[in-house]
Amino acid sequence: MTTTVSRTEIPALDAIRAHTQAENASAFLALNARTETFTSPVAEGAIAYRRAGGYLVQIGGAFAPTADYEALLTAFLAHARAEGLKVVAVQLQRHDAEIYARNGFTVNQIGASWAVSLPEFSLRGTKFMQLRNKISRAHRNGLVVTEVTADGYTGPIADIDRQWLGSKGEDAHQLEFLVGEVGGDGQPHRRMFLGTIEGSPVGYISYSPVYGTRHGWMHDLSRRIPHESPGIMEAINAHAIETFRGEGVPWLHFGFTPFTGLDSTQEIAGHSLGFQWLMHALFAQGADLYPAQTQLAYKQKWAPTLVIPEYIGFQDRASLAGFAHVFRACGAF
Amino acid sequence: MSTEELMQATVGALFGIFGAPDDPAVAEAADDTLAALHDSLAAAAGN
Repeated sequence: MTTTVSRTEIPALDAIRAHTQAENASAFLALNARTETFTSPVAEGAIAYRRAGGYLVQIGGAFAPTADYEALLTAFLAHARAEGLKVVAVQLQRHDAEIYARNGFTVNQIGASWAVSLPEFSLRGTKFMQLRNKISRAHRNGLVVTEVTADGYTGPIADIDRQWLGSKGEDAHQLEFLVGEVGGDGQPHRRMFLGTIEGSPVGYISYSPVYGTRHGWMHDLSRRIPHESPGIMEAINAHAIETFRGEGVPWLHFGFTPFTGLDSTQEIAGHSLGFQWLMHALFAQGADLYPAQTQLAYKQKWAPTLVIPEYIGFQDRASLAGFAHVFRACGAF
Repeated sequence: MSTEELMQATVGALFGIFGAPDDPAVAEAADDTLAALHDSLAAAAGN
């Protein structure tokens, strides 16, 4: 018998902390409020997913001990089959991708995540000149950055979110699932840095914990009031970096960006050439679907030291419908 | 269809799903298009 229960009844946090073989920097997203957790009495560990139409859309692989990994995946697939649903898994890491391919999935690279090694990080040098200027400009305009507890700033955060979303156009709505959130059971484990000008909150960045050998923090949700000073986000992140470096944190992760970091040498045997082409096409011309180039430009400002390929796994053959349902699970349509 | 036409059809099929996400016929046709693009690219690469 398998069971599927809401995240609040099962400590997904324990699973992502304990089973870090895949080194998934985004594992903490498994704790998002509407994301569910699958567990089974036949195997230890957990799988995080959302239902979208006829699919169970999974984030990351199975967070399970090596000995139980495939048994948990098999149980999850059986659960989906019993419900008449298909599984599509996104943000698989290389470790997961190889196991999924062995279990009948067609696996393709879908993008990459980006990370900076903090011990040797410095904003000195000509490559960071523009970034330094932007940060200086924000401070000259009165920006002050402090680390805060989100609970104490619920109103200002909601106000920043509202103005940020309003700037995206009439039809814009906040993406979920593969994007961090503020609040819920995960909040005590996150950190938030807030920017204010003359005492008024103008932007924030929320950082989620990352476990495993590349442990540290993930630059997660970031929002700012439009038309305020340039350099607000950069100044907030620079402040956070200095705080983390002072604490001896080894890695700052910038998280997953679809369609970026595509590298044919990173593909898994049996991948779809058609889907591989589509990822390149969407990077070049898919800004309406996801602004990958803009997102990447922000991450590259920080000269990431590590590009980590991330994968999508389709049960059976590569599937445009499965791919579209990842966006559906995110609330994109 | 040529590879170029299959590429255009693949993008069209993806956006077709956004318009009708629960229509199994649309999904099946889209996935067939993607498979045909794979075959065409594989043939062009001599695989």
